[in-house]
Amino acid sequence: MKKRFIMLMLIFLLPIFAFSASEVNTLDKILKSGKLRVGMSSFVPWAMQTKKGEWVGFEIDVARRLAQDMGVKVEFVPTKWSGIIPALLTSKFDIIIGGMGITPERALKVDFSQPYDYSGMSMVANRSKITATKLSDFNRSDVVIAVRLGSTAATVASQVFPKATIKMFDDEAQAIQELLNGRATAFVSSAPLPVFLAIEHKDKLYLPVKETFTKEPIGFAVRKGDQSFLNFLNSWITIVSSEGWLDKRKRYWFETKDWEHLIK
Amino acid sequence: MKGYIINKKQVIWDGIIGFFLITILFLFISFIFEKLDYRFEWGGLKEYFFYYDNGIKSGLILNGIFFTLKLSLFIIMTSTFLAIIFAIIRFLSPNFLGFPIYLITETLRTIPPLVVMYMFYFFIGDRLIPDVLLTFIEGNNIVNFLVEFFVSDLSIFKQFFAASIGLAFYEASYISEIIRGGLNGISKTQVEAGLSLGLNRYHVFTKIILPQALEKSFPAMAGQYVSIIKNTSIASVVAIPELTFVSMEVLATNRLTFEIWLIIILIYLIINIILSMGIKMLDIKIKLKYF
Repeated sequence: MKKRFIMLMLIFLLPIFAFSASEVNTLDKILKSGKLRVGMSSFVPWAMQTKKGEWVGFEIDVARRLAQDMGVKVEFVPTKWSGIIPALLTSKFDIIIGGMGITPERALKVDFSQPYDYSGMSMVANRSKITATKLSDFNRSDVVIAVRLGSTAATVASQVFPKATIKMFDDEAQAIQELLNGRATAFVSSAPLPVFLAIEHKDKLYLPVKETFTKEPIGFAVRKGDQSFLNFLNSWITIVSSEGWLDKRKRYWFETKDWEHLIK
Repeated sequence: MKGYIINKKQVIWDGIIGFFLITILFLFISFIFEKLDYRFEWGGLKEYFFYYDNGIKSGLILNGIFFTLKLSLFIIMTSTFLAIIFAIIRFLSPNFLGFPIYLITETLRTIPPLVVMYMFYFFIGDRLIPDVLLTFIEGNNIVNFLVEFFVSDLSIFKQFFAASIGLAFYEASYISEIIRGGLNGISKTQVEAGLSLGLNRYHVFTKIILPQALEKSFPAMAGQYVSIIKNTSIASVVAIPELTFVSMEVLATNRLTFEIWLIIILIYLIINIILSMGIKMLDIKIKLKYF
């Protein structure tokens, strides 16, 4: 018993040795290691993996160009969307380039660059469940709306449709399957995915409203308190958007389907 | 003796029956989907296994399978090693050195594996691998090659370590209880016999008690190995490119939900049926030695 007591005291002393976080300048660290580690998540057409395992997509182009302009190699760290902010905070990567919408809640935890892109929420509904032409038709208690967990779609859906049931899924694919199986009435997500879905499954799905119903700014997310890195990112965004490069890439990924042979 | 020879045939039969059951399962699933009105598209999937690009290359999902096997092997070896040490310490010094081990194993056994995974990934992972080590590995070509071949790509080295050590500790807490059971199961008379033959305490333990205990606890341990392979899928939440994670990524891109899930089921089934067959064979060998 006495032995056990001594051991217990030793165990209580352990935490003293743990945890000693140190502040480092991310920009310096990236330049020194020659590697930009980018956190992202698969999301058509922002970031997708080809059959050969190469990453393609709008955000991938942006990340590659950013790394090229910094003169470093890019390294993609695919992460689950619901855990992407904690992973950034614990330094699993240096920056999130994944079409992350700027929201007040997120901005409390991470620092955002100025927006380099705007995206909006769009909705696709199941033909057999509902025939509607305006958003207010979906604000009913018998409507089930599928969204991706942790996405801005989840927040928007519960704001716009307070009476409807919001079903959250860890992955986009599961939410879409729920819609196709008819267990969900509609699916809310960033454009243009709902439009693509409506084209792909013409017989089952349709677009109740043609336009997007929110406009949200998209920015790079970095760890808090890293002003010099943030300044660099803001300047970079100003440069590439005045070049017209961002618009060109956006048109390629969002308005054409030239890239479809890469993934299907 | 004769009884066990028949048993060997039984193992092969078990395998055949296993694969037969898979076929029935798939027939059943296809019967369900007939009603679901789901268009299957198997055609484009083979390139996720192999594709041509100046010779045959392994595709995404095949790489995922290799990674799952590598991760499993790593966890099986580490957790067995840890478990043996844990069990010996708790057996020899239950009150002093064994006490923290008891706390660790008891804690891990009451936490769900998913939570253990997050705990190691977010809180402990970075502390285990200092950046200095990573720069050293990167700077040294031979070490770099060895690490990338046997462990993982350097970019996910930290994740790999956090996840595999987390799961290894989690599994070790179960396996160590099994081994401790084995150690306690060796009767005291054997110790006394060894001592009276003139062996010292160290030799009695390493030559008499430990080998028997390990062999006796092997069947239960092997069962735990099957569960290790299944549990590696939990590593997908921390973005390790093993089978489940890779498949989920593929799913997010091409949205062939049921095809991909059926493939995942089939692959885990095949791996684990083969493993259980192997375990049974070994089990028979051990039994032959004792009876």
